Amino acid sequence: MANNVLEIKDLSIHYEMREGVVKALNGVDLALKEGASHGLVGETGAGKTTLAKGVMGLMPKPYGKIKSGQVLYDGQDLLQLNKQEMRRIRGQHISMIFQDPMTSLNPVMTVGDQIMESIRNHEKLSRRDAAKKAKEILELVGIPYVRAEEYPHQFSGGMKQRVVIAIALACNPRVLIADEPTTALDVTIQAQVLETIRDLRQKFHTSMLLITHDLGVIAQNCEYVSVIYAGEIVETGTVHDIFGRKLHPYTQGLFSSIPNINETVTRLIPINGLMPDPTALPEGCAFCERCKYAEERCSREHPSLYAMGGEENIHQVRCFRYEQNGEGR
Amino acid sequence: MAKPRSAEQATKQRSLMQEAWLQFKSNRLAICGLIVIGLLLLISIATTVIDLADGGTLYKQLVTKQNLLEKLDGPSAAHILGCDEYGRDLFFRILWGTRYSLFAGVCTILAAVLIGGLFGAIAGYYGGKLDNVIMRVMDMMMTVPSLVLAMAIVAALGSSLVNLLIALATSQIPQFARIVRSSVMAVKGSEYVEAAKAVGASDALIIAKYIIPNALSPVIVQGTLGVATTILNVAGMSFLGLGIQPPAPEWGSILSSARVYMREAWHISVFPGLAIVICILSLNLLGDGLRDALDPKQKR
Repeated sequence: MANNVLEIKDLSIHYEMREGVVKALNGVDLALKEGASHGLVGETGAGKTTLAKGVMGLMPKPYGKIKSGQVLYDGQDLLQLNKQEMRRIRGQHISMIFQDPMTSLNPVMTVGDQIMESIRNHEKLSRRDAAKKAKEILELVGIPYVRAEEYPHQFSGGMKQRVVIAIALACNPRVLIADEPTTALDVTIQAQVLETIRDLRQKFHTSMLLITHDLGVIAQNCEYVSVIYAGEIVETGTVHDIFGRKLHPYTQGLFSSIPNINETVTRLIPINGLMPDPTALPEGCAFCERCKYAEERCSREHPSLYAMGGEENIHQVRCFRYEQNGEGR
Repeated sequence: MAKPRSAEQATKQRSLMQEAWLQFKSNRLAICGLIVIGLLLLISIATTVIDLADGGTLYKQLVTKQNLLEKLDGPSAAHILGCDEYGRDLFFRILWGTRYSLFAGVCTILAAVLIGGLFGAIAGYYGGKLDNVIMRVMDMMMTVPSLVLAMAIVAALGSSLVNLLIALATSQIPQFARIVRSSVMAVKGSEYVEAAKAVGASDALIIAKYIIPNALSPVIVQGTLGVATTILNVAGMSFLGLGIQPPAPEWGSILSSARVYMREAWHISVFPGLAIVICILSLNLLGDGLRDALDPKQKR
């Protein structure tokens, strides 16, 4: 199989606030294969954005602290790099799309200039060449190049997100981290934007880590999925593993809380309760209070990830129910 | 054919500044303010050019030449605004006095914006201890009323135009430091700055192209209003005898010396007073218009 272009190993990130330590991310492992698209699903506050920012080295200062782990890009640990070296990685090797296109563009610069700056951060080009390249990229994301002279407020939300994509992909990065790229957009525009991302990824052969809480988006865009809960990966595998077998009770809960076109269901089943307080995570399984299968053991011991075979033999679940079937790790 | 196309282009390719100008244009009072300020600027430039060109002969003849036969004369055909207590033509004195007020106002605010802005920007961008130290010093300066602070500085340095400007600028610095700090902090935390970092922009680029342009508009507005305050302060200081010294025709000092003759010659107090009122009013209207035009939340 293809190599891993980005590998996150045992990454823990805590926010040390005055009120206590928020354990946003606790020992996350994630491997992004070259050219592949990996989805990361989870509810609000599960640590999705923290993971993205951790990889980019954009932890909120001064309270965001990386407690342990490695972020390997091509075998190089990004967490060990200094500011200058990290700056070279960003944009050129790993790029990021933010959630809200309304606020992620500079209101006082034309979109053409913003794409151009992104190119000139990494490539020594004259202004004219960079401007030319910026216009080409704008055309690639489906915006007529004449609009390069315009300001962000003259664009609609979907168009702005395309501009954001253009900025992120201007230097042909190998990895694209998309943090809920379509959450702020309406459904029709979502589809268009995702299609644009898909086309460009094929063209540039970019790997993508797609962060979302929309399982439908994952099904259409990703080959691999990880489900994150309370700062931990609770289930990971190929799209077929997860959508077909959905082993972890949390994953099952996620699926039963969205409508299925093939079944007639009068009432959707939500997952009762809330995610545990990240400043006081339980000793045992983080999901046990909301889990209908919870046993006495679940509240005492913390389950590890059990390998469950699956399509590419990478399906893993963090639940004691699969301890016997799977092999412990 | 050509016309609708260019009109369409005009609406399509409007920059933020053009947009602000459109908004500003629809505010009639602000336009009045702009016209009056433009006129006053023209007067001050013209009088300065004339003085430089003829070496001050005209200045001596019109502004400082005393004619005691005409002292305290009211408005007449020969002297449309009348004469002051030494028989000097009040109209020309007010005309020549314009530049003191405007020059003092603009220079003071420029200095205050640059110095205060620099401190504010450093405090806002780096935060932490540096922020605390700078802002606490600014707070201390703010506890002293600005006129009293300015008077203390002039009293220490001696009264001259330059010292007056230094004093007034110093008293305005904390105000601008605060404004710049808060807007820099707001912009620094915005998502577009983070997005710029995510594509590898350097600190210098972020400061030059993201932070400064986005933090500028409240400063411009406050600056315009600050010029008005300063002109008033200059007049006030001159009125107290700590500002620009006679025989220079500064509005405040004319007013100050006219006080004694209020009963015999009302015109000496009224006209320079009116000049100050018109100037301040126009600057305030201009500042209000700018605030409306530059604040995106007020866009209609």
